[in-house]
This record gives sequence, structure tokens and C-alpha cells, in this order.
Amino acid sequence: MLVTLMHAPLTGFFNNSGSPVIRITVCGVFEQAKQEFDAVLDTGFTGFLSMPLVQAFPLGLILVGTTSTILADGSSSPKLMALGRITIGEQTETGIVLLGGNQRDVLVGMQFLKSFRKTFMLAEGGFLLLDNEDLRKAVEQAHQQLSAQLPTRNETPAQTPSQPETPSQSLAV
Amino acid sequence: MAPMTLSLSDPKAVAEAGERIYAEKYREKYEKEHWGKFVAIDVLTSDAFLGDTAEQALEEAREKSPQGIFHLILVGSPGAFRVGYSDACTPDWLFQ
Repeated sequence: MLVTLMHAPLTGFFNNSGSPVIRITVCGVFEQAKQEFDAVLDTGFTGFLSMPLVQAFPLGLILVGTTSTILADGSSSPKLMALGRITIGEQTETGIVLLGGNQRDVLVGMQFLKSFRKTFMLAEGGFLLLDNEDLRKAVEQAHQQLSAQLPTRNETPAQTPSQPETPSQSLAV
Repeated sequence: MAPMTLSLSDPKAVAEAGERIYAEKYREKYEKEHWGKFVAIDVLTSDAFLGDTAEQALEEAREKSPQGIFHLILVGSPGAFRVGYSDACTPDWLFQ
């Protein structure tokens, strides 16, 4: 069965600690100050982007205020907050960037997936970020192909009447 | 009204002012009427800007108050964002 995707899936890899990592380009107000980072995709992080303060300085992000994060132990911790843009492939989205004084890794979270309208999918040796709309169309195509291969209820079945209907036949419409 | 001397060079004071303004002016009403929404508090004017997402609240706030310094809160939650990765969970020296 073949399904077509309009956009090539983005690929990522797993780092030494087993966390999924994707290459992103981060940019503030000055396009020429953009930089590439290997960002950990943290599905336990509800925000867009979180990064070390020292790595954010050269990017010219727009500092807008503060916020607070809920840590794994349930306590809350304040963070500086800026606005920035992430580019992956051909797509660029703007979102809130949390800046951590002690932080070492660059993290992207669930808001990143929502803003870019991507679905995270495990693949052999790494992972894929698939376009949500592409994925929906691919599922539709697969369903149509599957339906075309199966006999409909109105067709004369090749089986004898005494044979029970299989679960896959009951999917035919 | 919060003091006009607040600046982002003192993020701890901004965060404390934002939490205090929210607790004094907005928490009771917002937790009844806007549970789960994001609110950006301008700590210079004490104005509040609501949005369904953090980005929406901040966009509204920056449009209405371009010079504002904001503290972002998720109504009904002790923090606006959850963090899972351990590296981001250490206390921040900026706020100590």
C-alpha cells in the first residue's frame, strides 16, 4: 500500500541519554543573528522553547517578562521569558522562549509541536516529525485503498454462506 | 499600583510583583470565570490580558501595552508551563 505525503517528514535522532533531538534554527529580531541548535524534544514540557540564557544573548530575542514553571516535584520556579522564532525545514513559527540561568540543554515542548502542526512518530534509528495535515490525508488514502481492495457487502462473497464474516470485511463501506 | 522602577534587570522583583498583583486584583475572579486561560500581568500598570494560549495572552498584552513588562500566569495553576526534562528543573540563580 502506497500513500503520498506533500511534505518530506523531518527527521531527528536520539542522543546518548536516549532523548529525541531535532535540529532547529532560532532567531530573534535580527535575521542575521540566527543560530542552529540541537534541541531535545521534551513531551513533558508544555511550552514552545526553553534554552540557556547565555546561548540566547547573541540571538537578539525580545525580552518581555517573567513566568513560572512547574517542576517534576510539583514546586514552581520562575523563569525569564522572551519571544523568538524557530525555523525547521521551510517553516518558521514564533513563540515564547523560556530562559534558564542554570540550564544546559535547549528544549522544545508540546507547544512547539502544536505551533508547527507536527506529529511525533518513532522510526527505526530515530524519529519523524510528520505534518498533521499530511498524516490525515495519508490515513484517508490508506483507508480508501484498503476499502477498494475489500469486497463490499453487496458483492457476492467468494465464501460459502456458512462461513463467518471476518473483521476486515466488516470495515468495507 | 506597582512601582514604576521595575525592570527586567531584576527578574525576581518582576515575578514577585506579577504574582502579588494577580493575587490582590485578579485571582478570585479569574479562578471562577477564566480557569485554564493564560493571563499576562503588566507589572508597570497592573493591567491584565487574557488569552486561550500563552502566546495569545502575550500578543494581546504587547499590542495594548507595547512598553509593558509582563508576568505570565496560567489561571488556576502554580506555574504557566510544566517541565519534564531534569536539566530544566534546577533552581535558577537569576531568581535567587
